[in-house]
Amino acid sequence: MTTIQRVWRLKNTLLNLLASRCSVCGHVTYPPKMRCPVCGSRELREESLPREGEVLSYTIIRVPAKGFEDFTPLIIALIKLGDAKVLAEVVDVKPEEVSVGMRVVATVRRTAQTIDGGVPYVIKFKPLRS
Amino acid sequence: MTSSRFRVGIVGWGAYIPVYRIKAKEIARQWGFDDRVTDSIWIEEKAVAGADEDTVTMGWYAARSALLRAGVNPGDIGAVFVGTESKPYAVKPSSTIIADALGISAKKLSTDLEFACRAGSEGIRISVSLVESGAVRYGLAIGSDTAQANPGDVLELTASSGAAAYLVGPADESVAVFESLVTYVTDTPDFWRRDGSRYPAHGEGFTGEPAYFHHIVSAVKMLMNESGLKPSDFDYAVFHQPNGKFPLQVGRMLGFPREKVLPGIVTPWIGNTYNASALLGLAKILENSKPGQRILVAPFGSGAGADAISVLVTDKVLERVGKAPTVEELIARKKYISYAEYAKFRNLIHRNLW
Ligand SMILES: [Zn+2]
Repeated sequence: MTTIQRVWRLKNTLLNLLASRCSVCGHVTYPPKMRCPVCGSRELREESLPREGEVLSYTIIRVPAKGFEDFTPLIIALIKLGDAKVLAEVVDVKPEEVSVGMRVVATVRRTAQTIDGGVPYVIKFKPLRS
Repeated sequence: MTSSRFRVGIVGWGAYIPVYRIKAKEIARQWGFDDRVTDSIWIEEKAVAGADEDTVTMGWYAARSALLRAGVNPGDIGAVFVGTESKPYAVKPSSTIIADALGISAKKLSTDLEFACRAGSEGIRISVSLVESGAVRYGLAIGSDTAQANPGDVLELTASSGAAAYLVGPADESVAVFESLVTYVTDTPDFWRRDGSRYPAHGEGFTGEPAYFHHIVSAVKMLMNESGLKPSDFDYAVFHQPNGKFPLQVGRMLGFPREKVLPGIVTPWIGNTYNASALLGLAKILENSKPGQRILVAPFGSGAGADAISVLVTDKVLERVGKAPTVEELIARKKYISYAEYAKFRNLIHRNLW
């Protein structure tokens, strides 16, 4: 659980898919980090990821964390966006309709309300053609 | 009222319709209505927003499509208006959330407008005036709603979710130019929702004649008188669509043949999207129009008021249609849900939150 102010601080990362690219080894991390998780370099550049990608893997959550009941079953996927891998929710499909290799596109949706009653808006992914 | 001939136009437009649909007959059966009631008002199915969708998320999608079609720099947009009667926050603007998510500059006017189903078109009128006066280069007007209806109320057959967005700017960049705009507004108690009440109420039998028909007919006649235009000068006429029947009926009253009204009708397949209703109809027409054609659009909002707007399509429309999903594509991509799923998505089920 979080507060709407914490979500607000991460707004650019969340809505603009801001990632960090390592200037030394080229590894791309989302969300952006201060240090490259592969080579340890601190020479990182921020860049926006492409909005279209491909499902690499996914899992279905049927017993959610408190507050997510409205959105259950949750489909959480590892999505390849350009050179990055992003963990995010896939929406507008039923669990039996998701597949590895499915093309998806980023969209703005709301998620479980914060402990202070705010409405957080985040990036989720939906099928490119549905 | 003002008329802004050929100086201001629609630079980009965008639509959003949620993927979920419920059959109107399923809602009718749920409450024991006569099956024929859905045919009598011409409603087949309605669009249902998912549990994670609201006025902001749908408005964002439609506005993003409008910007994609327009191809303008978001930093040049000087005004953002959201017309809605279903704000996620009672106090806290929806327009600022959408504008920030689109990368629109902080140097702008921005507010949510409320006038039942015609606040979005008021946003268009304000944007036209701002662009015309030189105060802003572009103004973004969004109509977006997750319309509520008391479960079991006849309104539940039609009240649906959707959004439309129009980027208003200089005529020479536009897909359609504004020829004349008028508005006719009175105090009429046809439909309302008091603060703190979950669902709207309506004056039974009062929403038609003294509200919808009187205001739209008055606005359109005012436009005809001021502009000298006749129904035969228009290629299409789009009206607010609380159901499929009313727009055909008001078109007939005004002398528009059925074939000029039918192409702009969307409600029988997606329901009444309130602030997006007439604006989605206009978007569908634009997407199928030819340069040189003239369109009448007449949104209506309870309370009550109607606008009448005449636009002329330019040759720029053809290259911009394919840059974002069209209304017809959004209508065609659909998944049917049950009444129970609809009740879950639209928060009609009471449960303990903690
Ligand atoms: Zn590295």
